[in-house]
Amino acid sequence: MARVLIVDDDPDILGLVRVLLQRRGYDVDCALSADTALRLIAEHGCPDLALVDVTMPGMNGLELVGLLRTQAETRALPVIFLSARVLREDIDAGRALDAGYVTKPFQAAALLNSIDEAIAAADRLPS
Amino acid sequence: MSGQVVSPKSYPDVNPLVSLFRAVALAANEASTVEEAAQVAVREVCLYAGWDVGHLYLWDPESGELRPAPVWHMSDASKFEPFRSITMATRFPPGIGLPGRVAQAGKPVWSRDVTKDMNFPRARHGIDIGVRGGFALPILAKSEVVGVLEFYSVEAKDPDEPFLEVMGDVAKLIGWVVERTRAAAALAEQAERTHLVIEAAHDAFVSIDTDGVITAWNAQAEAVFGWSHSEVVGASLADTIIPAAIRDAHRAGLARFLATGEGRILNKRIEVSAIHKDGHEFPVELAVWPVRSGKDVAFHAFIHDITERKRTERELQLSEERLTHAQEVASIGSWEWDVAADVVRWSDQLYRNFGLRPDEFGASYEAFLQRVHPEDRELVDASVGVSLQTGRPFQFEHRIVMPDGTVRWSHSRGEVVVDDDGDPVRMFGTGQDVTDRKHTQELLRSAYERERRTVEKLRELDRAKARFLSSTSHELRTPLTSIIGYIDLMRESGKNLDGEEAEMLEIVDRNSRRLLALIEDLLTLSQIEAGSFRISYRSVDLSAVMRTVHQAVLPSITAREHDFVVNLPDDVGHVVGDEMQLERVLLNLVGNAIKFTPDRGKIALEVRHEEDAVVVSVFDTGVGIPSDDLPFVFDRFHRSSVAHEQAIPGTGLGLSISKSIVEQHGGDIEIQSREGVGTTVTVRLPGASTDLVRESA
Repeated sequence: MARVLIVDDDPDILGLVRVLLQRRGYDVDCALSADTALRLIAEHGCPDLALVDVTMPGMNGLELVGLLRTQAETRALPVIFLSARVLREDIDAGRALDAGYVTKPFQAAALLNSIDEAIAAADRLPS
Repeated sequence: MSGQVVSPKSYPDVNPLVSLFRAVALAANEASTVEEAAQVAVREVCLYAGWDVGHLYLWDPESGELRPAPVWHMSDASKFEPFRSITMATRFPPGIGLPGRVAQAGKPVWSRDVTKDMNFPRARHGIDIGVRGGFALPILAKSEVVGVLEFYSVEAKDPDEPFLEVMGDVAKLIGWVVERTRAAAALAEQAERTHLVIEAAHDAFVSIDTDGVITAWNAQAEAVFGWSHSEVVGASLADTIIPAAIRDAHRAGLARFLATGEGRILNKRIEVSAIHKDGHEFPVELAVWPVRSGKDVAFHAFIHDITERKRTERELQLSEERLTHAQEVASIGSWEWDVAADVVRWSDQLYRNFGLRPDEFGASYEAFLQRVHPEDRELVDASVGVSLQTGRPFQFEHRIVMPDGTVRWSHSRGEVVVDDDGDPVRMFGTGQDVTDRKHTQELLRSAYERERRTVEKLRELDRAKARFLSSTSHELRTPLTSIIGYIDLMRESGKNLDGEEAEMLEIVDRNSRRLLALIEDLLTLSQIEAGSFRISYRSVDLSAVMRTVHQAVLPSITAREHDFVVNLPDDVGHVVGDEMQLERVLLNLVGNAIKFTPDRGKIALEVRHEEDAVVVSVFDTGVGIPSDDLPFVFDRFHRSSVAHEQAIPGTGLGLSISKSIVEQHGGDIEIQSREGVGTTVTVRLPGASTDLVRESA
């Protein structure tokens, strides 16, 4: 079963997304900060996809993904940003890190579709 | 002339010697040449003393010889003809012959019998010359021998001393003639020279007598005054060249001189006006001096036309006045510094610039430096020093301190004059008061600075506003995400909710989404207002946009039981723009159609291609827009009266934002509506020709 890492400093949203993904049948790791996310990756290995909030205290989502892209193990990790930042430049900054971008509030069906597609696409790539 | 000579025969009772002297003296007085006088003398002497031949030799200074003159007296012309012709052919250098000996000795020589005289060449021609006794005496002019008178007798004669003494006086009389004619010749020559000088003079020369009558008028006078010599000589000077205004003064001056011997204008140069023959008056310079000759006085004058000089002087004066005026207007003063003597000369304006009177300024370089503001003194001194060393000009701005302590700004320029060795001898330049300009510059600078700070502050405000909006939007969206998300979860898993509870949940959900739409619109609007609304330009697949819109609106369409028609061409095609924003526009337009169309209405979405454009139309059979509202539908916060009456929810921002988005895409939007019939909104977007595809970086 594919495993998705969710990183969001808002526990309510973290809980919401966790329920949606678990109902969809994914294994879920939850992190309230970038630091926790890095620790979970270190402990559990690279997930199949990371769903990352942008605006967080400490290391933000863009910095986190930037860091992951520099490491061999996580370089190709599929990432979808899930953010309440909706300005053009915010979206462009996320996409520049080779990631999807879904704005908050989100439509559950659309978000789940994006996740399914991203994981499927990554599976098709020669690893 | 001989007719005037009084012969002794006319006075028979007079002593013959007296008669001789009278005749010779008369001749000497009246004769204009020595020959004329000598002619009388030789005749009178022969007659008086009974000598047969008298003749004149004249000294020729050029050849240094005595030359025979054609002055003869002979008692018998035919008898003495041989002697005469020999004599006329004979010249004597000093010492030779009887005349030569006289010329050498400067005194009379007597020969008792010339035929026996060893030094008498004329007796050596082998013929009888008919004369025996002879004597000769010199004609002296200022003790210089100018001629020799010789007398001969047919008989040998012994010297007669008293007679020789008388003859000496006769010769003296003849000598006077020579002296007189020489003096006269010298005088004539002198007069001629003077005349030539006067005629050739560059100045006009005019003479008048004591009556003011013109007696001399040279060629230059003719040129200056236009009158010819013959026209004015003999005429009154006053009536000729003296202007009416000063004629009386001229006459009074003449009269005063004659009465007192004093003249105010004499012997100095004066400037007066004169009149030309053509009537125009012009300035002349005049030098008059009186010349006395006996009782008579003549006035000579040199007169110089100074029209040109006066004009030049006037122009120079005007030009100086203009320069002074210009210096005043521009507050530019000039200066000059004799470096070696350390003497500084300032123009009046420079004194004004420094607020000083000439007696308050030491006129040295150091005195100038003391007037320079202490903080600028070093700069000024150094700049001048460099200029003196290099010979290059300087210019700088510095402050000066006025006597009352006021500080003013001066712009100083200077140049160096060097001698042949390249050493500086003189500096000259200008000083301009630029205080006002400095103040203006200062004002401008501070105004600019204020302006710049204001602009900076406004920019900062803009940035702060953008940050605020962005973070506000983010902060509002975050709780909404939870609200909307959990409502979804509840509905999905809410099988045990009763109908009333499900309906309430629906209301919460609907209002959450309204709140979200409102936040969305406000954020976009503020971006548009701040000019920071940006869309990305990509090639957008319109069919995908249509699919998204169709899916999004389908639930509402179904709920309202509308008949929804989508008309797409086979190839919907691409446009250049922002997919999300285009979706937003269409969602807004279709959303309006749904809201403003009563249930079970008809709504159509259509795409068609025109020449260079893709046209998207949204058509409905709704309530329509009252014509009064139509011009304002794109205004921000405008809501149609129908929306108010029927309490249709909305912010009044949707069409305004849609219009901005469409315009950012280079397109336009228009709306046609009839109240009670329906509304058609048409969006026209530029077709995706390749050069419009600007992939955003």
